[in-house]
Amino acid sequence: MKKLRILLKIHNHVSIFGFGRILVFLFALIFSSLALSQTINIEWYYDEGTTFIIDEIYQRVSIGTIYIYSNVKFKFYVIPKVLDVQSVTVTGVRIKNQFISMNPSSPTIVTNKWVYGTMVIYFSYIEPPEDFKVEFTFVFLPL
Amino acid sequence: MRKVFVVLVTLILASFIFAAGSVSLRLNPNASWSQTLTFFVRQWIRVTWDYDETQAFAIDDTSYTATVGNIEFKSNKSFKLYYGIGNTLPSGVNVVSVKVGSVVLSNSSTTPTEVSTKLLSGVLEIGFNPEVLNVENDFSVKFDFTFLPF
Repeated sequence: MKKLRILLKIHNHVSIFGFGRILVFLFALIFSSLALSQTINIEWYYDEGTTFIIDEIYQRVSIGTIYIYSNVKFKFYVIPKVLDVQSVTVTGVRIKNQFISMNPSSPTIVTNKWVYGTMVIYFSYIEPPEDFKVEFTFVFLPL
Repeated sequence: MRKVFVVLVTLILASFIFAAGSVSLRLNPNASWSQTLTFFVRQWIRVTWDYDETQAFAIDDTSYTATVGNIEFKSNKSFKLYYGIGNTLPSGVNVVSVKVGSVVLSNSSTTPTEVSTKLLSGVLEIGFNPEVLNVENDFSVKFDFTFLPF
């Protein structure tokens, strides 16, 4: 009886406020989409169009904050491809304290469904190069 | 309740605006995302001099030059430099040349001395005009070195 009353109440609420109805609809939509598909969401809080200046002493550069989250547990790896120059190699990609695997056969496992933190790129070179571009390809796999 | 909702929606929208970007991928069964970033190595110049800049340097009365000591300019990349002379010179006296080893440095910002080898080192030799012999007292010379990327 109590349950019914609550249901009724919700129903009243929905019918009275059209706004509320949209809300319920939106939530239903979000939940259904979350439940049906396995998605990876990436948000980056840096300007990807800017030029990142490498620290000469440590041969690394802090890019900015990145947030990768999913509705499922996942694993991922990154393939950096240095364009324009030959003499530079990317030795590591770190998000917060964790180095991301660069090996497709042993990806980094994310059991808590999210990775968040400052992304830092490590380089190796003997002669400092001129401006160069690096293409980072992140590959995500279900766990 | 509605106020809270409005605030929440505003916050969520704001976070999207301030984020430089966001993307949503579907695992099917894999997903990949690429981003291309541009990098640049910051240039530095290290100046090392093996002389006491507070001591007085004697000017040779036949060549009108003074050798100061060794100086080294080192960088991680090729660079250009030129010098300027401060207005501490006695009247009539001019610095006519500044040499590092055998390299004559430029005093012009439009045609600076190019150092493609990333290293310039040698004895710093200052050349004056003959008027310098008429100066009785010690005088000081202020050198301003300006470095430019290659």
